Amino acid sequence: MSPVDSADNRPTRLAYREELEQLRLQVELMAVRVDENLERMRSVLQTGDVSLRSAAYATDDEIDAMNVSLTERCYSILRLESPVATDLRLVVSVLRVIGELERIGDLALRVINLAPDHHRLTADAESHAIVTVLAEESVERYRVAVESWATLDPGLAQSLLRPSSAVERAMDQLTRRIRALQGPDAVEVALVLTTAARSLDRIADHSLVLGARVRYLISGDSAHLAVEVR
Amino acid sequence: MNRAQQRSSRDNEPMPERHSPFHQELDQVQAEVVRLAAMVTETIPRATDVLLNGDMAAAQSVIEDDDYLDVLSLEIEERCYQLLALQQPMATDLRSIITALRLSSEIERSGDLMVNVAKAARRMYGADLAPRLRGLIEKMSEEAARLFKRCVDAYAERNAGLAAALDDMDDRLDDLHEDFIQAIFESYQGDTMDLQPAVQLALIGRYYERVGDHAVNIGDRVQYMVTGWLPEHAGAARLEARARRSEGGPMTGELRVNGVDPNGGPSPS
Repeated sequence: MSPVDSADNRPTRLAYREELEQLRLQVELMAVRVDENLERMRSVLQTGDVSLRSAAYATDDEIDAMNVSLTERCYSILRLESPVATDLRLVVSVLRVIGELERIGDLALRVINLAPDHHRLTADAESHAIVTVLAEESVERYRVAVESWATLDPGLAQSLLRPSSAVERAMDQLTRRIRALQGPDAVEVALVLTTAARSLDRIADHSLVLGARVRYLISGDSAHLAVEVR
Repeated sequence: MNRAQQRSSRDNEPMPERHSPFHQELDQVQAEVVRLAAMVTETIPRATDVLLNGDMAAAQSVIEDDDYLDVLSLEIEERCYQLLALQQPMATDLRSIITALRLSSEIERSGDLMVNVAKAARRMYGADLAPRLRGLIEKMSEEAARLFKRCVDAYAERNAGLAAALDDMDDRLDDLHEDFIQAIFESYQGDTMDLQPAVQLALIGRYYERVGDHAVNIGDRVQYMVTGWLPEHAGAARLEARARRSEGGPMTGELRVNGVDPNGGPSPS
């Protein structure tokens, strides 16, 4: 059934509004599950605890399942309700945002999978410290992005537009440290550090896209989408 | 007549004329998606040429040309939103628009990966590459371009069979990537390569591999467009399969070379 304005169909319209609100809240829930794995990711970087992997995989399965159900729900709304204006922006934004969340989850898992290589992550203490800073910063940006989605706060979304100087500085420092690595296992150490750092950098990038989507959702200005292509 | 009734009425009508303004617009969007993909397919050998021949002017050209891909991708996205908002398409047409939306993003990201190859080539300018590494780079590039061309063919021809085959075709690129990482370790340990180019090459191998992943994703989306099969269901099937496996069992299928998993686990979809 489709929402219409006649008094007879008010309950239907109400159900449609509730369906959209439910959609938005489900995205928040998915973001919470992603956050759980981001926390595990930080723990792995600190401790190398390989036992965290099984819980992380279970959470990632749930994230994938939410991606499935939310995608289906969006397609169903597009097919049955033909939303327009703000509602259409919400549905297409949800489709994009859940894709970004799923990718952030995968990137977190990629770092968590480095647990058996923790000795390589910590082989150079300074590089490890830089990766830790990167993790703090990328998770912080992710949380700002999720909060901007939850509150539809344009100021928060706007704040993500500014590149994180901490991330840029950390990436530069790490590149210099990696170049200076020496020894027979230098490539292995460099690869593990690079894998971790690039994953964290991309988490920060995906958070930027989330912020852009919130700005598009609020304003309807498709110019914000340019952030998604670089 | 409310919108639901209108829609029901439309459902019972004969198929609309394919050359209606709406379908012409939809055809144009699909043509633009194919054009975007063709541009990326051409960029793959160009970026490889930059890498193997150290042509810095060509590197700059690859990087700058990515702006065209970005603009075209955004144009496709906006046209899709307009079609959704103004035409309220149904069934196959709705799937076609959603597919175009998803594909433009996958294709644009693949273009970015080739920009990454060009930038990495600049970082390792002057480094000598062993013949084995050069050979593997050429093969990975050819394979990535082949996969990308196949996925575009599948989209243009609405060929669900070809789209479904892409996943298996990608195995060859994955194998080449594995060989490439092994060759990098051997070159470094044999003192024929410095650390910095070794790291850059490992990243480059990953970029080619991810182009293959995007081609497979595009194949999944084409299947959705043609059959209605939702690619995300593959994830749900994986979840079921994983649930069936004994809990806490050993993880299988991970690529580890010299004890390092250069992918760090599963690739993002």
